[in-house]
Amino acid sequence: MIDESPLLWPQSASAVPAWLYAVLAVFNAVAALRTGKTWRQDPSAGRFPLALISFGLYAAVAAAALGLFFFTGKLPGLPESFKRFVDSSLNAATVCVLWWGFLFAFLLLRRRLVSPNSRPHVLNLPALAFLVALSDGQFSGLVWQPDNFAIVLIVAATLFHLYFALSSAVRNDDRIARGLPPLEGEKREREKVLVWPDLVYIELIAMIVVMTGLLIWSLALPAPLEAPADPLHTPNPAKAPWYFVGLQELLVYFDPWLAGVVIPGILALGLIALPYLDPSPEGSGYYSLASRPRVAAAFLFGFFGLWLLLIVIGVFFRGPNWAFYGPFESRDVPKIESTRARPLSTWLHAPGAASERPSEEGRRSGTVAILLREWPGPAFLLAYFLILPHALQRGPTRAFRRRVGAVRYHAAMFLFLFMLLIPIKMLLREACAVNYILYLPEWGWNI
Amino acid sequence: MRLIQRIRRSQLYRSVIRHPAPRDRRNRAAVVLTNLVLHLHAVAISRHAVRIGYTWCLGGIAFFLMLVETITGVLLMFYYRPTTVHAYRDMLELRDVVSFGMVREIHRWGAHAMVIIVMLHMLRVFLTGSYRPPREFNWVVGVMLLLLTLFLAFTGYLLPWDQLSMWAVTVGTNMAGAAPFIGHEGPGSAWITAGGEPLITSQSDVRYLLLGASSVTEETLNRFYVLHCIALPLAVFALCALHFWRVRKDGGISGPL
Ligand code: HEM
Repeated sequence: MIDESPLLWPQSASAVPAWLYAVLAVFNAVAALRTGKTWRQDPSAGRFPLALISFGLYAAVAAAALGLFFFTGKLPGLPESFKRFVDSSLNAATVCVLWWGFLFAFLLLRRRLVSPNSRPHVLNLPALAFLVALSDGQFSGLVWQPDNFAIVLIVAATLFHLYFALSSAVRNDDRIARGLPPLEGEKREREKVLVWPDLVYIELIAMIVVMTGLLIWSLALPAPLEAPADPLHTPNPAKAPWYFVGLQELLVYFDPWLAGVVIPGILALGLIALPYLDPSPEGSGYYSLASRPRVAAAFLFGFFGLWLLLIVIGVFFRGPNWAFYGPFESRDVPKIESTRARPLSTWLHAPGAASERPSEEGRRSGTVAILLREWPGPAFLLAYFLILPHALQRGPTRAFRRRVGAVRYHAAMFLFLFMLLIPIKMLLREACAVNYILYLPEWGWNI
Repeated sequence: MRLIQRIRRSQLYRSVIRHPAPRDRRNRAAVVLTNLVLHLHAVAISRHAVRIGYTWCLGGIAFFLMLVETITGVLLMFYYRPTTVHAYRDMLELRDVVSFGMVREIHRWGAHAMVIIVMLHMLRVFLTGSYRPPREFNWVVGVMLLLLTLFLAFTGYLLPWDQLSMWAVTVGTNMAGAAPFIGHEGPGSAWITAGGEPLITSQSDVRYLLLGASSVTEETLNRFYVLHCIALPLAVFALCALHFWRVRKDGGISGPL
């Protein structure tokens, strides 16, 4: 299926993790040297920096792995029992909860994580875990599938960017707490520099770096080309391009009119409306979390906790029939997931809700009967979208409501609650086996 | 450095570049002011804004990738014909026959990279609070650019005309068929009738508008080709011009008040 690449691929597939270990060793060695140098040059520096030792250790570990590969042709791997444990304990719900827990731990513990002593571990441990997992054939097959590599890249790049942005944010928040301006507002930083040469050269270097990276990527991974298009033969699973796989994954939890149209539409509208709903010009122009904790948490949850997460699940964990597969599990064994999910009204034993399918009877008995049967749905939605914002503005969101006024407040709350409907429905399905909050098969407006 | 100076003094170099390297403020400013491309920039900007750790160059890289895509895209158009007879075969030839058969790779991974970089650029703009007034409209322009980038990538995905592309586009566009009221499988579409006949069918809904047919066929290939090679790139460049102009007019790269 995957054809041979112009140069490097796939003859040397097993050598790629070795290359990555080499990169890791060099990176850590350089980081250790730099840490030592700044420590020696700074007369006020205290004890010997712990970070230097950590970087050094990681360099040694990576070099040892490389040595192992050199002499035995093997790389450090995972025991089968551990892989089986991972595969059997993961499902869509556990992946979500782990991912969200990771995001919030990342945000809450940011002060610890960005301290110089933890930096070596934060940068190395995920990379090492990834490299060790790569020794598994199934896992590395998933990662190196050419179209999938972009998702590895975006997750890594987002984490990397987020980590350094959080470092800057912590630094600025500390400065503000001490009554100083954020670093970007220092007098020296506000001075003007000439674009030629100060910016133009940075741009030149950035272009060279990007082009080099793109060329290496293109040499290493061939652009996929499968069999010619054949309308009579549907592949299983048929996946959307990766940037839309998140929406396809939403189809597990929502009907297509919501998953494919209304949810992305409203979230895009929310993105557009963001600067109009949170309009204070203060706190703009520097990295910070303390000056906008709530909106930052909401945005990061949407970006990382929903958008990226759904893409990752859809691309890496879904196999034939869109069934859930663990990262080390073979996709060749087809699975059929049992669907015992039922609507909220059935789950609550509302009278008349037993019918699973739209019945002629239901249609004939008319609107009133349907609404009577489905009372939990409208009740939930009403409470959620109307009563909840009103109740909240007496407590937690009072200050926000005061600051922005009624219209902005309710628009913002609607968009935020609408976004939260996604994790709510995901958890309802996984934990309570409830598939619809509002079930109106007679008309198709299932929510 | 000596070497560079010797090159600078050589006859060959001086015959091409007539001016000596500018050393004073006045001449350095003139470089930017008198150059068509560099004139996109202000002459001087504040120091924090050129720090890599502030913008990470992400907007600039997104634009650079757009240029890479344009150039490699033109090269691909030399060899590609958007018909069901030729499309797939041209892909094979691009891989097996054309010299330096790597253009497709650069174009495809460049497109993925562009989607990634634009998403990260949005994240950086958010984390620095740069979406707030006076830059709120430029944020809106940015969201349009994000959507256009995604749509550009999506229309390109169909063009190889293999199983992967055809079914990915089928999955993607089937969602349009489920749009409420205007998609034939969407809720509420049955309510829209004319004289008792349903108005929204698989022959007349938004999915048909998108595909030019009721399933992914040659009409779709042609439609996506035109969108991918002409309409959407033009829209991206027009919005980029607006985006950059607004960066300047809104006071340059954001900084604390
Ligand atoms: C094709 C896509 C895009 C291109 C080529 C682009 C390009 C740029 C460039 C070159 C800058 C100058 C500063 C920098 O490099 O960060 C910039 C700034 C900006 N961009 Fe974009 N951008 C794109 C998409 C977006 C998106 C998706 C958003 C947000 C949703 C956005 C919002 C902004 C804002 C608000 C600024 C001003 C930032 C500041 O002053 O600090 N852009 N853009």
